Amino acid sequence: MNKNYVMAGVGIVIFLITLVTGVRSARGMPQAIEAEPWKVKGNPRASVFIVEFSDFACPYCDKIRPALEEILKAFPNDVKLVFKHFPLSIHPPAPMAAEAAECAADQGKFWEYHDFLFDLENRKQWYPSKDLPGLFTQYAEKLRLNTATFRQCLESGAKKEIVRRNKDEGRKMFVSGTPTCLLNGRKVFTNHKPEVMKELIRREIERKKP
Amino acid sequence: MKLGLPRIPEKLALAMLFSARVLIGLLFFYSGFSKLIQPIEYFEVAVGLYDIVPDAVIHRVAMITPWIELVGGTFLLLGYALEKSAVVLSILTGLFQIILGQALVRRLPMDECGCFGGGFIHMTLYQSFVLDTVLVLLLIQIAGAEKNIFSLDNKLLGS
Repeated sequence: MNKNYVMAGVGIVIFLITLVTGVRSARGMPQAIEAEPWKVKGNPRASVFIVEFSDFACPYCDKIRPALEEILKAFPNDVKLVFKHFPLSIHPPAPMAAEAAECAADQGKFWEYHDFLFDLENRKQWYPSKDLPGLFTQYAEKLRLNTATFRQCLESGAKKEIVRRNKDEGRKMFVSGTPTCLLNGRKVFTNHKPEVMKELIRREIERKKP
Repeated sequence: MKLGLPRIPEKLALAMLFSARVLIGLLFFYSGFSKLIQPIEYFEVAVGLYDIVPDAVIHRVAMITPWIELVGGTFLLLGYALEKSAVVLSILTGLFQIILGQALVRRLPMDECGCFGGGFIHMTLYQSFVLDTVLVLLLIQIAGAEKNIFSLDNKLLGS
C-alpha cells in the first residue's frame, strides 16, 4: 500500500470530521421543546423536565405511568412532566384518541381524559371500536364535559394539527417508538425503572444548581 | 471476470455495480451525517427503543455507528478501500437486520426504524428490513467484484 493511498484515506476522514464539526457549530443546539401548558404536570417552574412521547393505544406507555407519577411525587419542586402525542401508525385509532384528549383539554380536563383513555378496560373498549367519535363522546360525558362542544371539536378535525406537530417534534428528535422519555429534552431514559430514573434526575438537579 | 451477474455484458455489469455503489454510498453518507449533526442523545433514543443493546453500551453504540456509516458510505462512494468498505458496511447492515428482525418478532411499539434520524426519510421496521436485505446482497456483490470503475482504488493503486 503506497503512501499516497494512505494519505488519501486520512484526508477523506479529516474532511468528514471537519464537515460534521462545521455543520454542528453552524446549526447550534436544537431549540428547546415547546411545552403546551395544559399538558404539563408538576411544578411549571421546575428546572428539570421530562418530555414523554406517548401513544394512548400503547400498553408500554400505560406501564410507565406509575414510575412517572412516583418521580413527580419524589421531586415535587424540581421536576415537571411534559406530555407529547406520538400516535404510532401501527395503532390506527390512536391519532383520534390523541385528538379527543386535546378536545378534553379545551374544557380543562386533559389529564382526566388521558387517564380515562389509558385505563385498561376503556382501552379494550375503544381500541377495536367502529364508532370512535361516539365512544369518545360518551367518555367526555362521563367526565362531565360539554358533549356537544366536545363532539364538534372532535369531528371538525381541529386538533389534528397539534397532534401532527407533536409527532413531528418527536421525529426531529429521533423518536420512533413509545414510550420515549427525555430528561430536559435531551437525555433519554433507556431504563424505565423508577430508581434508575430518579438517580438520573438527582444528577440533573445537581447539575442545574447555580 | 466473475461478477456474480451471469449473462450481463461486462460494461453493463460494471455500470450497474457503479450505480449501486453510488446509491448505497449516498444512503450511508446521509444516514451517518443526519445522526452526527444532532445531539448524540437523540440517536441514543432510537438505539434504546430496540431494547436489545445493554444500557451501559448504548452511548458508545450511538457514538460509533454514525461514524462507521459516514466514513464507510464516503469510501464506498469514492471507491476507496472498496472491498473492505463494502465488507464492513455489509456486516453493519447484517447487524441492523438482526436488530430490526427481533423488533419485528417482538412487535415492539415502534413507528419507524430511526435509521435516518429526524431527516426526510421515514421507514417502518418492515420496510427497513427489506431495504437492508437488498443492501446486504448488493454490498456482497460490490465486495466480491474483481473490477470496478470510477474509483480512487483504480486511480491510486493503478489496478
